[in-house]
Amino acid sequence: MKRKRVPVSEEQEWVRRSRKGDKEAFSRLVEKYRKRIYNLTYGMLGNREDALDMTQEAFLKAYRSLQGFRGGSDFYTWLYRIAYNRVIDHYRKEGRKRHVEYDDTYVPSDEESIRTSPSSYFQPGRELDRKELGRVINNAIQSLPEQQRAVIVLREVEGLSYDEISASLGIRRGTVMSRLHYARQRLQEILKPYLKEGEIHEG
Amino acid sequence: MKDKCKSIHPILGAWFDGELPDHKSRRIARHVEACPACRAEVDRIKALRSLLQDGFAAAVTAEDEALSSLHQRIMKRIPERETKNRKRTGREGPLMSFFRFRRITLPMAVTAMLVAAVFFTIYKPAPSVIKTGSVNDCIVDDLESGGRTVLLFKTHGSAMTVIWVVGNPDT
Repeated sequence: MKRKRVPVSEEQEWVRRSRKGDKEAFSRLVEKYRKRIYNLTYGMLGNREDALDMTQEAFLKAYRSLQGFRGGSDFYTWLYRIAYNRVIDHYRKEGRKRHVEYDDTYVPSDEESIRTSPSSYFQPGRELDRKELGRVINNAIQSLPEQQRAVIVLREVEGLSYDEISASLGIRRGTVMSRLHYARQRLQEILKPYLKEGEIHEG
Repeated sequence: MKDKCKSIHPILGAWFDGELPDHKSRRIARHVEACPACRAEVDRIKALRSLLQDGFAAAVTAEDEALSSLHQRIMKRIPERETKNRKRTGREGPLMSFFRFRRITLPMAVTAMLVAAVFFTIYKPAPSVIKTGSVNDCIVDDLESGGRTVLLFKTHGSAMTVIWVVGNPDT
């Protein structure tokens, strides 16, 4: 997925003006990043209403916290961090934190795979329309441990480097590599019917 | 899976992502070129990426309108910080708003304190009242003629000479 890049100096100017209370400048930042933040929240939560709510909360929190942003890191990694933390808080509030002590090597048993996999969507050899493809991918990602979801979205969908993911989630680079490896293994297993040596079955 | 493949397998994704140091990356590239099993694994990683990106694009493109409305909701909930400031300064008048300006207030306060300190160091006011008890200590000379007495004395702390005529001019 290609991202439209805005020169850093222009973005820094938007950030600087936003910090002084310029709503128009902040609106430019929202416009640029709303889809990317939604990708992360949707990938972590798996349903559009919660993802939209968390995206909104993340931007409002970012606006309130702009005075604390000193520009030491990139604005978007700082923003991702806020959104990520909002979703983690949401997990806690909703009591959805299933894997309290995250085990990066976690791979569900066959029985658990059957229970958590959206098996009804997995029909080998069948081509998917776009809506169904979206649903299949979402269900596959939701079968991952929560912290692996953020890593896979930021790498595979958002195209962040390991260092950027590390900064966005506040985890070590080695942890990024490890979570990514296990998430890929798991997704390959679940999405096997749609992955045929590099070819994608898509309608 | 060969031993070599087993050791490379966990970092094949990082190699594909271009996240390994050069020396390690070159070593894995040589192996992948020669190993059909590892090449197939790289193909699967590549295919997975395409599938995830397409799946997300499909899900999120459908939300363009919802994200646009969300944008408007966010902007509505952001307080009008600038407008509030303008109202406040309007009530105070231009002079107060000028002094409120932080960058000017502090240097001005320091300058004022320095000027005051220098002024009070240099300036010593002359005593306006000379106490009677101390007059004798200051008398330089006294002259008496025709019932009049003229006293000459200097004030404390200055070189001023005071002439004091005492007596009735009619006697």
